[in-house]
Amino acid sequence: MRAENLTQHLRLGIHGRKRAGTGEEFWQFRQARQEDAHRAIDWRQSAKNETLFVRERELEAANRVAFHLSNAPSMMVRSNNREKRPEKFERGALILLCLSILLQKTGDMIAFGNMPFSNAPNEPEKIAYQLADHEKASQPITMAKILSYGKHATKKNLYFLISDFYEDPELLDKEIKTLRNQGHDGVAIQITMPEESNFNFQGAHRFTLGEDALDVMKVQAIHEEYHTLYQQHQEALRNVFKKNGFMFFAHRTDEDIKTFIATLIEGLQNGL
Amino acid sequence: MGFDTLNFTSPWLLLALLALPILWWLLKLIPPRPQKTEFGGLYFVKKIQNDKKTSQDIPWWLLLLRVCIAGLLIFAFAAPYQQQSRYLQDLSSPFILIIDNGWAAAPAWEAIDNQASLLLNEKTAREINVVLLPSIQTGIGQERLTIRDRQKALREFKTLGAYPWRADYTKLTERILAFFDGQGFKQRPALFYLNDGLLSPEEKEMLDVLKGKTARLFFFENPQEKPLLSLHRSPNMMLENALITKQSNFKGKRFKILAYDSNNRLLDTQHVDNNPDQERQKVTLNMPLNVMRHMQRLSLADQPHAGATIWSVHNRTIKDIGIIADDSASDTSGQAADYFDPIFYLNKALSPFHDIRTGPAENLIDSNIDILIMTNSTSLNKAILPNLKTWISEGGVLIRFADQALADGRYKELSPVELRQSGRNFGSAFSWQTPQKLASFPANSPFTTLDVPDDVTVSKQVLAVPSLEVEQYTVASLEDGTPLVTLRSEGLGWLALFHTGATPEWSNLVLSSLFIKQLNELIELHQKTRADNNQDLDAQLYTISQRMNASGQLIPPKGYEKPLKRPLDNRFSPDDLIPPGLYQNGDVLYNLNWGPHAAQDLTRSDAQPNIGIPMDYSRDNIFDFKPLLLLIALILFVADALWFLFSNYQWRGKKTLSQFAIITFLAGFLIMNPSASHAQNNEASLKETTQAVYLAYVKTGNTALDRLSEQALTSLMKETLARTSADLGGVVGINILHDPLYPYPLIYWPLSDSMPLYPAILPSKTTAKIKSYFNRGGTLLIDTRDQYLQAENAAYSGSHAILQRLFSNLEIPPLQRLPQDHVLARTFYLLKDFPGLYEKGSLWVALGEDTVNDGVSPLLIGSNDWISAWALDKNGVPVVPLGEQSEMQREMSFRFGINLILYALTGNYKDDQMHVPFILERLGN
Repeated sequence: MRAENLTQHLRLGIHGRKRAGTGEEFWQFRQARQEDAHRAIDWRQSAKNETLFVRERELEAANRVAFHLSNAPSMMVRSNNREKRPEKFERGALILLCLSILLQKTGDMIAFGNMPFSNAPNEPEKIAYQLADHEKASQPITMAKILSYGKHATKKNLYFLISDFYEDPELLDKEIKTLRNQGHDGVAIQITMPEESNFNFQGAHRFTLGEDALDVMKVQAIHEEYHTLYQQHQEALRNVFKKNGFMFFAHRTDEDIKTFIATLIEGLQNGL
Repeated sequence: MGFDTLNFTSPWLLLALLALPILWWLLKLIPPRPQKTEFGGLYFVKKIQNDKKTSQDIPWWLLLLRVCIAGLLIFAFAAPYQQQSRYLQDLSSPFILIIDNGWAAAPAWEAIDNQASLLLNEKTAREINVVLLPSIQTGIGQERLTIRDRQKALREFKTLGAYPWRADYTKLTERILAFFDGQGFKQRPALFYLNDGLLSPEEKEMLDVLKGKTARLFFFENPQEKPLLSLHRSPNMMLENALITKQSNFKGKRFKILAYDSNNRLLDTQHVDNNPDQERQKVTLNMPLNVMRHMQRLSLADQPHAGATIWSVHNRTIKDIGIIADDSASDTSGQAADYFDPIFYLNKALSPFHDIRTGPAENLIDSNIDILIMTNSTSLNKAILPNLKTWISEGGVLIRFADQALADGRYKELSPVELRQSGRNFGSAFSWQTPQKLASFPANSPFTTLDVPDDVTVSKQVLAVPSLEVEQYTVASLEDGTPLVTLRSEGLGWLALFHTGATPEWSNLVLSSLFIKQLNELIELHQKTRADNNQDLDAQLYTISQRMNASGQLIPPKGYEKPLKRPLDNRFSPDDLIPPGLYQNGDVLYNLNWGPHAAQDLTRSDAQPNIGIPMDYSRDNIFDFKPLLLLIALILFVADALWFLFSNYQWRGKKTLSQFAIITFLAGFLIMNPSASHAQNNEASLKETTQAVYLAYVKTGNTALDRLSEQALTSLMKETLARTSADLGGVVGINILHDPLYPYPLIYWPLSDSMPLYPAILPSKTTAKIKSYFNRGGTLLIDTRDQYLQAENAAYSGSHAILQRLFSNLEIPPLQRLPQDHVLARTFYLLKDFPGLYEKGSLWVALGEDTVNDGVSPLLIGSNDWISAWALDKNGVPVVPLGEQSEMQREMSFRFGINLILYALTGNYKDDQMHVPFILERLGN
């Protein structure tokens, strides 16, 4: 039910964006480059303009869009002062569904995780149900782990990786390199909470995460070190994705989701 | 005040101080409970080095505060107290401790108790034993002096008290000297003498002798906070007079004299100015007549001892009343009523209450009559007049009635007021005045308490010659102010005149109930004078009916008192066998007061004692630091809690607040309730209870009832110790669920509707324990305390239901109503019934199996509420009032208690056939 509501909510968001006048054509044609074969040039389109347009083969392959959303414990953190829902996961799911609806409309084959690709109109809805299952999955796993399961894909896919990426950057690098070597493309979306980047707790805290817990008697004492570590990690992540040609977007849960999705789409258009 | 005088009740607790450094370390190690936060960035936190994470920020002062709280608590529970007792430090063992517990010790007993406790409690390096010797010992079998350890002596001391007579110092000297001879001390023992504040020549003589026999004599001079006074009445004094004897150092400005009635209610107080020139001062009480009439006890304020108490109990017994009649109309009884004869009306009025004789005045006076009533003035002839006058002045009461002769102005001698020549008539055919009604009685009249009826009228009276005196002597008057009854005292006696006749001709007064009451009031005047002044009776034996205790209260006799022989020998002085108190011979009561002897002691006392080493009584009470320490700890705790709330911990809403409130409240309750911990200290531990015979009661959890039980068993124990040779160690309250039962030969279980300590049905573990207690010879007395209900319907009584429910899974031995010849009725006293607060309840015992446990019934069930009868407070005043004849019933109740204890302790010993002849002999008497 929550997933359906979410979808409803999303559709409104999508409609709004459609009215904003995003053209489908831009997704499928690009200016011809020198290496493009003549066959690839869409002459009809080119005739309309002075430049040559190419119907990209890659784009056809990239039309197989695979969404991955991490359900690691850190994604499931329930915020204290906002509604008692796993905040990052929910935000990630929202973005995921948003994109899936968008891409389904444009005729792309979409899939969640390692499910079969499909362009059925109800596919986003299915994904929403799967997300609900995914949230309750008994074995939460990190993005690196998810990716390590998904190597068998034969065709070129476009991967949307949604996570907080609070994991070992080297491990992540290894997995993404594998993906890249198989010729896949990818977009990484990092969801974080303001507490995690600000880290302004005071006094004694018992930090819990899933079944993990750690007592810190005086949080003030580790503020500086935490911030340093956090910055280093962000830097490392950026490097990993940049090195492997993945796009990287960061979203904080206190930011406006519509703005983010607009930014995301704009970034995608520019990047792809 | 130094630390060398600081003592600890439980010094071993101080060992816990060693744990303080550990506590410091633990406090550092165990952090305050952290706030729980779900946090996604744990991945980063985990990477941070450990030592930084455990570094915490308890301020050093908070740490210090907490360690201080712990330290204070340890100190507090070690119960430090300070006492200035350094008496025994360089003495050899044993020392002798003489407690002067004569009458003067009563007001100062607290100081004496304090001093003796200091001596007996003092901590010494070596064991120092003591010979404890009260100057007055009551009871039997304590003639020999023994050396004993001080704890035992302290326990014995606590059973002592002051007694309202003086010690026999000559005999005491003999006993001590005999003891010295018997012991043959190598080292002379030291002697501590706790004087009561008075030093008679005999006492000084004794101390002089003892001084030569002892190493050192510590003479504790005077425990009194106020100089002593005594109050007494010399034999020929009137009721309203008394003598106050002062100790030479009395500086007060005035005395306060209190008058009490028979129910111990304060009737009146009177202040009398002190005349510093007189050592013995006569005071006159100025109290209303009816106060004087109801007064039974006079005492001086702030002098709670027998010497400042005058008992003047008078009895309302039958009096001999003579009605003077001419020979011609000698005997009216049995004859037809003569409605014109005044004797008829007087007979009707008085015969239900008194013995009435009629006859000529001479005969009546000769036959030692109490009251004379004269209705016919003509009887007052010249020959009888001197006789009559003497008789009145010796205490007789003459009641006259007016008649025509008196109205005519004849026979006016022996009238309280001077009379006018002619009487007056109201409402007759020739008068326009209506008959007069009665005015209300004046305040000083014996009739004040009586109601004035509306329908009594007087139509004829004799009038007094108006003078200032008339009003003074008028005790009843008519509405117009003319006297109806006048009364005047003549010597020790009284003279009363009804200004109207004793027949309805003159007034319908004689037909009213008021007349009877008035006559009775006048007759009582005689009793009052008589009881105090019957000095010239022949030598007669008086038996005791109540004895006086040291504070001047009347208590039941012990049973071993000897009769008092009157008149008293000049050298007679009351003692344990003939104590001060109330004695009785037939109808005649005699109050043996201590006052005259006290006055004698006060004047004989040596003001400048110069004996041994003079010591002052320690005025410092033991200073207990425990409450103070606990209070400081509480304040620190609150400070800590406040810090906890308002420091870097965030306010976490109502839950935290309520938790804080609860914690603070509990801590406060624990700390501020030292009485609870005291109670536990007072409770004899199991170790103690097994070292002596303890009487046990079952604690119900009902505070009032438990307190009553404790008081009752304590007073019962005292009585038992005083009267028998049973050696009881104390009283202990037990919880039947948790405490072991085997140390106690007798357990008293009062039932009540509210017993919060116990479940509805006893658990099987407990019943098994009770059963094994039964089998091993214990005795359990269950008191349902509901005799008043049993009269109606026992089955509906609350306690009965509780009994049935509570013991529903206990195998109760078969019971029978106590048979007549049961040994319980003769273990010590020979008893017929066993009253407590109630008299009629029956007592049930186990059906006899003589071979088991010496025939002692394991279970006794009764309903007479014995504890209510036994309970006396620490001043010896009963806690629960009994009904009529209460003191006798209380005494019988104590006798039952003593029998019960001896029954539990000795079993069927008295059932032995060997005792039968003796018992029969006593029963025969």
